[in-house]
Amino acid sequence: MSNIIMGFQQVMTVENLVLCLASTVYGIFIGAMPGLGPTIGMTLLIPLTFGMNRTTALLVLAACYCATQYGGSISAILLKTPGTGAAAATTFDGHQMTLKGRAGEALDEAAVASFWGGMLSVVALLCIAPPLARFALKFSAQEYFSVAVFGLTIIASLCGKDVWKGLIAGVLGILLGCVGIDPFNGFKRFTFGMYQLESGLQTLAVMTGLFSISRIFKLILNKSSFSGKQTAAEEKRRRSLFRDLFRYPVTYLRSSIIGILIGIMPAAGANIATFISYDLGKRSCPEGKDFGTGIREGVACCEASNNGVTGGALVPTLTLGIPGSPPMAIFMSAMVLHGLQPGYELFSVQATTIYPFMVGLFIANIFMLLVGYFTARRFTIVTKVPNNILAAVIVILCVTGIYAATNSMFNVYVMLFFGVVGYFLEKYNFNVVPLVLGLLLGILTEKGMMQGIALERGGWNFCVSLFTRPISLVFMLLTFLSLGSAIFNMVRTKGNHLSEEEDD
Amino acid sequence: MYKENKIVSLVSFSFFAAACFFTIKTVVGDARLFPVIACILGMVFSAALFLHTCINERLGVPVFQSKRNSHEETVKVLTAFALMLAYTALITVIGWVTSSVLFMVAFCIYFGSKEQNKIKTTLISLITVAVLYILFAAAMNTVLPKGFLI
Repeated sequence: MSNIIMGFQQVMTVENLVLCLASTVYGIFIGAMPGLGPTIGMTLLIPLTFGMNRTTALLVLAACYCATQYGGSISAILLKTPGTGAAAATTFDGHQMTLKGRAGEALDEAAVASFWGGMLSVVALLCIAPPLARFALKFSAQEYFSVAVFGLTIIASLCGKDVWKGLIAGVLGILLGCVGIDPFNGFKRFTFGMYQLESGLQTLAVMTGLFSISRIFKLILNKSSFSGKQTAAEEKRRRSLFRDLFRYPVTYLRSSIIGILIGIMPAAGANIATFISYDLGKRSCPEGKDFGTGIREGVACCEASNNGVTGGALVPTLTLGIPGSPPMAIFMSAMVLHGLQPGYELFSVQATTIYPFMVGLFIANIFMLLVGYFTARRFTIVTKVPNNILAAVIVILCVTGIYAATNSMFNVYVMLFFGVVGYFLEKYNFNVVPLVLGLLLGILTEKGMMQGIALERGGWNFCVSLFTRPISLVFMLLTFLSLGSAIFNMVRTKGNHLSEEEDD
Repeated sequence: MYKENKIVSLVSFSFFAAACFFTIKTVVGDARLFPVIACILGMVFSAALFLHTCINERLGVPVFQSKRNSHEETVKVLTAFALMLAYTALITVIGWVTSSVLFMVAFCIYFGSKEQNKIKTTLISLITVAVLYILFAAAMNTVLPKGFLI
């Protein structure tokens, strides 16, 4: 407690507050740009931190990280173009709200939910970092495999009314995840002699193609729109930050906890957390069955978990020196550049640096809420731009963003290819969301499975070990429960009549 | 309306079967295990889709039917794709700024309404690309593709 008080005393300087605010605004802006995620945002900031003291430098970088996670939701909501991979799930309800003329409401909810996710994750980081780190250490191949399989069962509930087509899309995603060098044996698969494919398909390029480029084709056929007229209710709606802050307390808490727990696991990341949180929300929220049609709570589920990951991801980075994601690897390099070594000593010898930094994250999240809540609505101006201009700008942003993120024109072609694939898949009523989920989780599933088989010396032993290890047993039981409820829902739903208009 | 779903399921089944065959032929050792499992699952789900459609047909349950694009719509989709492809190809030849301006002008004029003012559209394109260039290159220090022009 004394460390926390000391942290507050040290962080409350004009310099820290101004730089933290500037970094938050910058982070929101970078996050909102398709393709430019936290990794690029933090990388560009590192040279600027050289002249700062350690606490300020770490605070500036972490504020940028939190803000980019939130910023990704702005373009996801307004343009159905997730600024970051983690914001992909936000498009489901967020963009539907935009189409219904409730973009401002969706942006407000994204800011509030991101704030709660960020705040709760900082509380977790401050209070339970060491025990959580020990918990993460118990994760072995079996646990990763069971978490990934549990994540894959979400596909069944995201399929919409055409379950079989959703499952086919999910398997296609898993297969696409196999492209590149096999993570366990190092053999090349589906590379067709192209060295660019050896590192696998860039998830961001695939997602941008499926979500954004495919939408361009629909847009030019006037079958779709990126905007909706502001409803009379939206125009008259009186905003109250206080009321919005406590609108869905259970959802904020549940989704944040999911984000924190997933964030702690190295390599799992915000992308998976948002999908799991969205699925749980779909099953447990009062309006869950209508998720995907523009439900405010759907946005809350995704955004709270999305930002819940931020504090969770810092736990293994600070305590064990294991950066679970590329932004955390950048953060760790910055720590080392500033002469800080991750580990137990960080919390004892370097307490005067690390506690002010962690306390500063509270302030960063407050800035993120204020900036997001009171300024993000200005972005809704894009919904008034004519479709042809908006579509052209989106193409330029996507092409530039993917090039900037990967420094390769090859990935831009990959994005265009998946734009066409996405267009045809949607035309024939295949949901592209399971494809993305399959792509993200397939890689993790295979890694867990192959490592598990090697560790247990055989497939059968590996299967048995899934049910003998407590953590993996819990996730396997959750998997069966999830599958059971999906089958139950499938049997209950009669017919799969859909029209293209309904789907739009 | 059932025919389309049946064709889709058969195409999907053939795709996964071909992928399975390709995997077995080209991938060695344990590396083939996971993709083969995925392909088999894909074939099972495709077969299930086919069966489900047959059952629905017998029971008279309506299923999804896509709308066929008109000739004009097909031309629009192909043109949009061609413009995007040309933009991507030109970007490393003539540079980001020039290709972006050309792309935006062409895209906005082709897909805009007939009443639109072309000079105004060109001006909007120039200003938009300039703003994006300042944002990307100057403010964010992003590396943009280079060509013999800017």
